[in-house]
Amino acid sequence: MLVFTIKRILMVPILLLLVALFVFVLLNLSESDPVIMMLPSEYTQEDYDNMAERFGLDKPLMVQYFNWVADAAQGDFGTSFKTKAPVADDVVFRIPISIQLAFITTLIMVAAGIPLGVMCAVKQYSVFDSTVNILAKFMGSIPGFWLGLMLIMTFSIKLRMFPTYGTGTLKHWILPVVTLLLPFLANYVRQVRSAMLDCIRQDYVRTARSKGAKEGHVIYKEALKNALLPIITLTGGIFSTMIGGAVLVEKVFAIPGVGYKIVEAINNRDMPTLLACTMVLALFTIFVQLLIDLSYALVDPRIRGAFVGGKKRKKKLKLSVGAN
Amino acid sequence: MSEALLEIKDLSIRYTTDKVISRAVNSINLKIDKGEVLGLVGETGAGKTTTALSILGLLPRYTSETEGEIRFKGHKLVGASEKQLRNIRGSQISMIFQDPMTSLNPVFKVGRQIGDVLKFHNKTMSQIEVGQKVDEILQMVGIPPSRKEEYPHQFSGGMKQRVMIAIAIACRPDLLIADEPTTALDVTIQAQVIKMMRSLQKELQSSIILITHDLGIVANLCDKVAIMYAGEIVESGTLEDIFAQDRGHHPYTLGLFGSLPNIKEKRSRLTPIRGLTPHPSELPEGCHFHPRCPQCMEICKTGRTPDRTVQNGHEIRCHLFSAGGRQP
Amino acid sequence: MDAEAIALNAKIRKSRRNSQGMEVWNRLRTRPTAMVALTGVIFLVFLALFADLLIPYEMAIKQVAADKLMPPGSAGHLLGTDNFGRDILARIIHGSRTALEIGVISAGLSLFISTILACTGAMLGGMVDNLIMRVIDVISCIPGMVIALAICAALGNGIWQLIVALTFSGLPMHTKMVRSVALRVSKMDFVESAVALGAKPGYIMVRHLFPNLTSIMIINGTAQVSINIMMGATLGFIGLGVKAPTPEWGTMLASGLNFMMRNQYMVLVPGLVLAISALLINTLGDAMRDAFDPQLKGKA
Repeated sequence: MLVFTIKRILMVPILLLLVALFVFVLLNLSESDPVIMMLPSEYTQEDYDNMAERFGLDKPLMVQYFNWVADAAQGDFGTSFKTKAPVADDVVFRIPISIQLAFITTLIMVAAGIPLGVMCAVKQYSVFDSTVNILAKFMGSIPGFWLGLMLIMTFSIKLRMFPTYGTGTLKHWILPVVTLLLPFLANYVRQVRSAMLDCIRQDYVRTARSKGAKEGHVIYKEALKNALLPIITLTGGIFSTMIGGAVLVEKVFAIPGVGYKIVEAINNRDMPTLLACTMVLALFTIFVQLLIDLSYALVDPRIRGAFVGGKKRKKKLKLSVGAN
Repeated sequence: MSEALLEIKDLSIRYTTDKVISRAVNSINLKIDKGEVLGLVGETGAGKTTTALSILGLLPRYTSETEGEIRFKGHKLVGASEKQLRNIRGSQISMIFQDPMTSLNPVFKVGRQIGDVLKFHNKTMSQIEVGQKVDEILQMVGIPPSRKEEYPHQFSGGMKQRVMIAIAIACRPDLLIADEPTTALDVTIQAQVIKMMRSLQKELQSSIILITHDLGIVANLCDKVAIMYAGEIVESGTLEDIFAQDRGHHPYTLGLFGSLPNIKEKRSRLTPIRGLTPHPSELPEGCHFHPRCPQCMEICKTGRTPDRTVQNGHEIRCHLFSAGGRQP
Repeated sequence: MDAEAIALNAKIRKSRRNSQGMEVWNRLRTRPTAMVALTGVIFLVFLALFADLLIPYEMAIKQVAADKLMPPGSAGHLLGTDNFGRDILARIIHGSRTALEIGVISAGLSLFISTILACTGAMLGGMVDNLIMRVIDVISCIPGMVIALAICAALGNGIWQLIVALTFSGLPMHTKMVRSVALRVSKMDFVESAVALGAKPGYIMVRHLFPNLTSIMIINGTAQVSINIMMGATLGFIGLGVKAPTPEWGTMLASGLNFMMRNQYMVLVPGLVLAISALLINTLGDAMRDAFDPQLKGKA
């Protein structure tokens, strides 16, 4: 188990490097030349060369990449093409803000989503279930950013209940969190319900009933513990998508987080900033994925057993929970 | 005069899925006394498992309808409240399911799964007492008590089935329903499990309903036999009644025995029963077996399924044996 | 057992013995929600295909009205006009063509590439499989939206750039799902026997693997179309994506931002259309899932 954890943690920097490479290559497919963008409209070849050299853009791609990696390892993420200020300074302060947004929303989603989903599964076909299902369908189809705008229009402008942008007080956070939360919560509830239903149909639930167990025990102990595995998987998946959604929410509500910066950087073709922000987001995702992988072993004894030997390639347990 | 332990009267069960009605069980009658072993024999789809599940009230609530009566120690089971059924399940009637691979909860230790049954029905038992009892039970089924801290996936198929048996006998039930307990196992393991069940039955004096399609196991364990086809009991009687070769039998029974390969005879082909078992949603009119019956008569094709005819406790549901039909 | 019931049951079961396609269609037919969704989607497709016939393209990109910013219900302009005087209804209808083009093409490409990757990995196993999975792992570390953003940033504005971006962002999810199905199928006996008979991996893939994948492809495909339309609109909202003046629901929303205070309809209308389209496609996707596997009925 320990070996597995260590191996898994070691994978993190490798993944990060690969992600950085990926983004590097991607950005260099761009037709627009960042050097030209930074120069005034009239420039000489000498100006061009100077600018290029200043930002290290005159060197071949792989060299640029390695330089970047070497610098990044020491905390230097380069200088922004736009602001000409160190990227690290700017991005670092945005990280806690983005973390706050993403994690608070995820927490609420899990705390509300799991009970709702389980209840729907238990009361399948009931009025409760149908209502939640329909609501969830609607909520899940609404574009996140439009929801944000509608909320702003109604609550901020018309009703003047909440500020329209920025952070600071609790009130500032309510609308952004709600905007980010609702579409994801909708899908989450439906998927939790689905996972629960899967488990309730299993043979061991019938065995539990045949022992004379109370319904509560059957559902909340026997079935739910098995459903945890797919639920954990899907939580990880949704979190990853949610980070993408958070980028949007930050823009709509003008929250100074990493996501907001990414959009800005893209519009400005500011590569170092873009790179740094992407790395941060990737790090979030990788970190959460790591937590999820580790918690599999906690929840499922079958996986725990498979890792005593320290294997890296785990069985890809799909969403189904039938006997493996 | 002692009452039968379990009495099933005119039981019919219908499933409805996607607007298709399947008549899984059609008006069956069964009786088991204390300490008896009844073999319920039939092909897959004959309605055996459905009957078993209905005794425990484990049929799906929304898609099934049950008519008729099931009496256990005089109490009605059909229509009983969930609470009443819960009291009986696991303690007075318990079931051993067909597939041990999927019937055990993979995330709980085996000892706990057995201990649970004890705890549900003995609320005053302490943790230590439960532990001791679990050890006892494990020993009864031939599993070292030290293995109670292990998980199901660490057991082989045969051992898993023993765990299922342990769970079923934990509270010393009056009636044990074993649904094809050996079908999923190797033949050598089968023999072990059957042997164990025999000794357990003697020790606990439980009645057993043994559901199987294997006549060999029936010969080994059962006192009485009931043969099911398409949701009906076509023939029932004592073991001797059914296995006797010099008597009349339902054509289906004859077919079943006839399809068994004989180790003493040399033959180039097996003789199966021609035709296929009908799907419960498309049962033929009249006698359900008539399309496949080599002795089918005109009267068999229409009308109600023929009345049962009694011959000294040996009952056959066939026109061949009813008054007015031919005697073979 | 009455004769009528038997006959009815027999007829229903007979219709089931037809091909899987017929089975699915029958199940779909009996559910009202599914039929409503299907009608809605067909309507949408109709709008997109015949947009030119319904309203001339010029009305969507040039100023046609005397006034700018006319509210809905004004004479001759059912949904009003925008800040450039362009008819909003025209822009919505032509926007549906843009949306569907983006959604369907990118989803289709995504699915196609994922399937090939997944099946190749599943069939060949070993190094190839590992390599493919590693690449997919790296891509999945970055949220789909961010990937799309990055690609759009790299390639610039335009509908094809957008399609490439969306294709890429959908790859990880599909590849993983298709791969798990492919792995399961490849372990089945009929594949083993094909291999034993000397069949080449390519043949096995096409003849045995693909037919088993149709259900998951259709279900995922529908879902991905909806996701991509949404993402396309989101990217349009940010300013990446299609070039002005091509009508696109996302860009319409973006321009509506500046007029949120007075002319709310500019924000309401495109958003509503987006939401309804997504709802229809999602509902259809759910119904498809139910139809393909009735055992999953009632599940999300």
